[in-house]
Amino acid sequence: MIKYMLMISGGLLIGLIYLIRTRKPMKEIVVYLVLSLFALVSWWDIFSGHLFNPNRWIGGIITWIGL
Amino acid sequence: MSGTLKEHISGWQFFLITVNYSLGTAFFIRPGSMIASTKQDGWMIPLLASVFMLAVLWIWLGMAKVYPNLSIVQLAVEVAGKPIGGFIALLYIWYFIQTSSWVTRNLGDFMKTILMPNTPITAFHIMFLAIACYAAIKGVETIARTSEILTPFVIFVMLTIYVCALKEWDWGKLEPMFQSSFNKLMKDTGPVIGFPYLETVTIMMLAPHVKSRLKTALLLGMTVTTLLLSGIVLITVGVLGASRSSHQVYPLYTIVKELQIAEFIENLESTIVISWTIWIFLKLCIAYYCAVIGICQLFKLKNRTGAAIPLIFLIAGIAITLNDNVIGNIAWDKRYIFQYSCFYGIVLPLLLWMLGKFKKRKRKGPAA
Repeated sequence: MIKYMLMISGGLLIGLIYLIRTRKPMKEIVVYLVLSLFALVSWWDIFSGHLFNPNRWIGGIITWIGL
Repeated sequence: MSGTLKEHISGWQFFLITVNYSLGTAFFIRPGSMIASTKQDGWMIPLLASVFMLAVLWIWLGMAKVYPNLSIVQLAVEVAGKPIGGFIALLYIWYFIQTSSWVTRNLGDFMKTILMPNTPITAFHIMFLAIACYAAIKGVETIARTSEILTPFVIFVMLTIYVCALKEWDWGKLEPMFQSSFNKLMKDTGPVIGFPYLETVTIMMLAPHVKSRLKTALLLGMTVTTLLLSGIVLITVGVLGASRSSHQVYPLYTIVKELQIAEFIENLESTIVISWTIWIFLKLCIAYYCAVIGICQLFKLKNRTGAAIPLIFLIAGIAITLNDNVIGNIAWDKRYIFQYSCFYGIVLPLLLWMLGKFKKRKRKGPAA
């Protein structure tokens, strides 16, 4: 698990360094960082035992609306 | 490389994208569930769904006509303003990401259950997503050209299977036909309207890139999808029988596995795996591209790379959390897919269309 998380973080970090070195616009770097954080959170969630299942949430909302 | 750069695709390329996107995963996954619900009458479901889709296509084309140079994401921001329109755009971006995750998971489930049970499912996900990411960075013209090159092969393989499977055809397996009531048929059509038909709203993101014949390409694409889907259900029932097909997750794979040509050509399942992989790849590329381009258009990014790379890991993660297994996916699909897809495929496009028309009329008003 730790190895896997490190691998993903490493990959994303390389991308971030590339974006900074090639002097990409700040907006692009922020979008990259935010999406990377979402990705890391989703993987952390998987390793900690599936706390967030989008389909269950969507299903819950549809049932709550009464459709 | 720009997120907002004008790229063009022809009507023919858009037609192929429509067929590939709508059939990509449905061709293999849908027949089993359609036969399970309506037995020998399953072939009627795509036909009924397509009638419903005519009204939906009218909405989509109406929406695309209001501001022909804007995609759904841009249209939302333009007609509903930055706060509300931005939220609608975010909802669509989430939908594209979720669709990409679904497609990825379908591929992973198929590979893991049928072909390579010892390989971790994430290995398939990451490999496919990396290629889709590259295609998304290269742009819609590259995806359209890839689709043009690969589709003839896939269609050829499918037609060969159609023809070869006819050897095992038994009219008796199609009986008793016309046993389902109209109400039951309508009820069972719901999930099929949701997936694959309404899900195809994603390709409306590409509408501004189409040079000509958008309407013809979309209508023709949907017609071909309906005929191929209805045809494969009919053949599956005629060859395997309703009872056997309804217990299979991938009945088409079983047909090909048992196929024998001239008594010495057998075990043709690898060909079907290759064609399905191609179809999934094309569908994934389109959904992935739409997610990336949606992010770029919403945040006005000039380069797609920054948005495309982290999506590999995000989509791979969501693909794992979406469902516990294939059965969970089927259960969710049966209960919620119609309602969920209606929101993105009917409610929001209708809202955007109405708002767009209202805004245009308001602008014209003082001059008139």
